[in-house]
Amino acid sequence: MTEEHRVVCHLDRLLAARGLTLVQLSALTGITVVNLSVLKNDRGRAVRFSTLTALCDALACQPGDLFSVH
Amino acid sequence: MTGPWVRRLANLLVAIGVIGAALGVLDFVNALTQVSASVKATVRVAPSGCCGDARVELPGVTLADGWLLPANGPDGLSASPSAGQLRIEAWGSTAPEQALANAELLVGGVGFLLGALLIRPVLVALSEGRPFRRGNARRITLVAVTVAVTGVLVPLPSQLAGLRIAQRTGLETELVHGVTVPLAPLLTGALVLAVAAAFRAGERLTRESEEMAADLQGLV
Repeated sequence: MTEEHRVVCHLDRLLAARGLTLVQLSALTGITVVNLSVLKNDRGRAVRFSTLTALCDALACQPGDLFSVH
Repeated sequence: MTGPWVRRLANLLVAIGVIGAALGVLDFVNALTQVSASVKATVRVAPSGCCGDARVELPGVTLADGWLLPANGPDGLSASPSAGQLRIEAWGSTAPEQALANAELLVGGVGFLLGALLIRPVLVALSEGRPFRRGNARRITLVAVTVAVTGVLVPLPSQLAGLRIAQRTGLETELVHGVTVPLAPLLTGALVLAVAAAFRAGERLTRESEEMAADLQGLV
């Protein structure tokens, strides 16, 4: 059951702005590199609040900075 | 319950059903060509009062010891007793008598074939390790109905034929009027319905778990 969505993740932009790599972000958040890669490449279909909180804490941003709807 | 032997069992059941139904049709058609010849049917015997032995009289011959002894009467009329039943045979049969007296194999065969065709996909799903495939519960429900209806119907035509023959030959006074409906097939059908309900619950759980797995795909 695949449902179309228009949510775009801006993790790559935030990582670049902060000079971080996926591996470093993984170490900071405890989220696996595989899952971060899924998010970064817009292959994610759902995000746990715990994941979102960890990402926002590590990147010092808000959920709206991470995602937008196109 | 997986493996190729389950699939072979499913095919065997269908083959038996096809043979049974074909024999039933042949037997039925053959019976219709025997109109006015001899016809056999079973009738129930009951005493005319509240209790005691029942006495059945054949035209021209009275059974010496109630209905416990087989006897032959004139004009090819004969009777063979067993446990309150008489297997009667009479000449001069009519088409409805022949049809009813020989419908047992047809009804049983067609019912078996229908049940085998319905249960085959269920057995195939079992052999593939997916017992709760969508539609199996509905098929098992139909099998339950088939078992109950066929089980009830199979003995009825012969009894109806017996009543008609008894009426025609003048034996009806000592015979039970009406037919006996067997209850065991209804219990069997209810049991199969319970299995169908279990399969329905299994189907729902399988569907829910599949949906849950789909939801988890891409969850980070």
